[in-house]
Amino acid sequence: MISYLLKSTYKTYHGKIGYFCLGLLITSSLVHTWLLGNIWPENIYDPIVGFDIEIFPHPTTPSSSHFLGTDPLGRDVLSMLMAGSRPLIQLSVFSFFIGIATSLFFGTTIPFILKSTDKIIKEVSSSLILISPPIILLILGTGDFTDKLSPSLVGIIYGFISGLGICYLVVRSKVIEISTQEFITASKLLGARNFYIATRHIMPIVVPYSVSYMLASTTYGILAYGFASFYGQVGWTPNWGMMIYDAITYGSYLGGINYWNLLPPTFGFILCASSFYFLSISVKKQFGISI
Amino acid sequence: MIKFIFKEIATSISSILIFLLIMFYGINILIPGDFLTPLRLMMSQAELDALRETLGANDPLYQRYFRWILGVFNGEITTGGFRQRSGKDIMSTVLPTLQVLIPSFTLAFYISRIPSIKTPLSKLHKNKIFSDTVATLFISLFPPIVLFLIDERIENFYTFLSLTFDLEKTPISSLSISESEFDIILLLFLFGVTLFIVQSLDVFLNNKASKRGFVFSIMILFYVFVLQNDILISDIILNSKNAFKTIAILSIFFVGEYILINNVITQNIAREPHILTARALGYSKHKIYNKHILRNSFGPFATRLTLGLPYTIASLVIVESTTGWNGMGSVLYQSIMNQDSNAAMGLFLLLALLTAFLRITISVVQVIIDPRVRLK
Repeated sequence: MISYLLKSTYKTYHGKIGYFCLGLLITSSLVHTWLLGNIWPENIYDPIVGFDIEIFPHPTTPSSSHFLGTDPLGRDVLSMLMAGSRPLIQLSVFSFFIGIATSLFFGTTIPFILKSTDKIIKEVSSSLILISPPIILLILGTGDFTDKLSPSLVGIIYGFISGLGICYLVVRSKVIEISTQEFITASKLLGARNFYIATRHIMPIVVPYSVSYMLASTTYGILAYGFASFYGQVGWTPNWGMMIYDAITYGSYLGGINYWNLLPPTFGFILCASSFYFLSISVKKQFGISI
Repeated sequence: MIKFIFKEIATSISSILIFLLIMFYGINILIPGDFLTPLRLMMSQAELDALRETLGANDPLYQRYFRWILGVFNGEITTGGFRQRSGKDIMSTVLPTLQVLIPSFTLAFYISRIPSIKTPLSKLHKNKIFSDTVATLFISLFPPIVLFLIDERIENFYTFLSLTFDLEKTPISSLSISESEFDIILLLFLFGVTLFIVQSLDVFLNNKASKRGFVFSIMILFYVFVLQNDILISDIILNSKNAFKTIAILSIFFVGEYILINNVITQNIAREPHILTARALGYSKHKIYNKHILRNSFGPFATRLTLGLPYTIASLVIVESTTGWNGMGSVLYQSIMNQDSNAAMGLFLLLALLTAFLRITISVVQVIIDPRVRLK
């Protein structure tokens, strides 16, 4: 099913753009780790504490030693840009897979097998829908968790809430629709167990619904993480929100905004958020999902 | 219909209560300290402990939750003894939120139809590469960046207005009207201007205007500009500056998603046999689009809109905090930052009620418009 999804989404231009953007981000993150370990001296190119003492004053314009220039705190913008993709990729991947697993497991088994608990879970899901990513991050980022608030942890929490919230409801409505169809009745008559029918016959049909919704939800997770990092609520991780904040805040103190500080993280956000959204549209178009 | 509305309300109440329970536990467990913590600078630890005991801040969480819920039913949404923000302060954020939310919805809803309207009927069932890409770009735009791009232009425009028309800001307390009346007039002004912009865009893009829409927007603006005094008008215009910044960012946020939803829905409907039949019978594009595609698209659009409502409401937190607009979103952000759990709970309640209200309204409209839903 996964390979079928990958192949079919790649056929659309949305899918191609989405995979290209995602590939670019993953590559840049990997290349950054390699560059920092082999070519770039850590004291100059570290995305958080790096500082080039040979250049003064900072920020500087793009040059041969700093392809995208330096920021007002003397850090290399290219290094920050490349490192900034890592937390978002971690968040997206964790949130996506946790969300898919949660929504598919609960979404197919509960409405089909545990019908008595379905109504309770539906109410819980309807309430979980109201808990959106900015609110989760706002609360988590305020407490003592700021330093422990790793992108993967945020991804797991967010994936679980999205998977059991909006995604569960979408999958559930589709499962209820499918469960009355003839082939399900035929399987039951042939002696198949409910769990077997749910996992073998129903789950493959609802996978695209879950995938498309989780991909779209991940986009909001990315933007919410950006917002939290913009306000310094995600601790000391290299991130694009902080880059934008520094560019705007320190830039205005230093007599104007430097666009080479501001544009890279902006494009980074666009690239990252749109890659998931493009993939979501591609799944929707390929599988005729209107909602 | 009444039975349907009651059923919707009952479903919403149970969801809201569960949501509030989760948030109550979340806030009290995850955020360090409580609503009395800020007082530690003014009181000794012993005094603070005594106050905490008196106000029941040390009681088990479930007791405090039920006490808060009882307070809500008694009309006080920030129950809990000492408060940094009162229930009245929290309630006063509703109108500013509506002031930005309603115009943003109107603007985004109209703009999202443009790509489909401008596409020839024969190509409506095909992919809209350009508009899809632009829409995704809008969704991915980071709000502080949008503010950075529009801020100076809006500031310059308002400076120009102030200098040209000699506008001056007067404190609301010295005006002859109450704060809520002022907020309602500001809401009317913002909605009237947005509606006028939408109608003008319609003329510009389609060479056709909806007379009702134009008359309605002009009537609203007439009420604001002619029936109110100069000092009030000047104050309303100057107060609308931050509102328009927020509306612009919110509209960009919404429009991207609405365009994508519209594109997918219209593409699917355009492939259906009844549209092909209408084309074969030689119906005009305007008729096919308005009578057959737009009406049929409302159902899936409303479903998607309802599912995305919490995200829409939550985007207020991001956008309002960015522009400093004093709506529910930014006050929620400040309340959580100031450990004011009572105010935060009050705001969560209002946000949940707003979401439920919008959801029920959409469902009712869906029932009225679509006979298939009505029959179900």
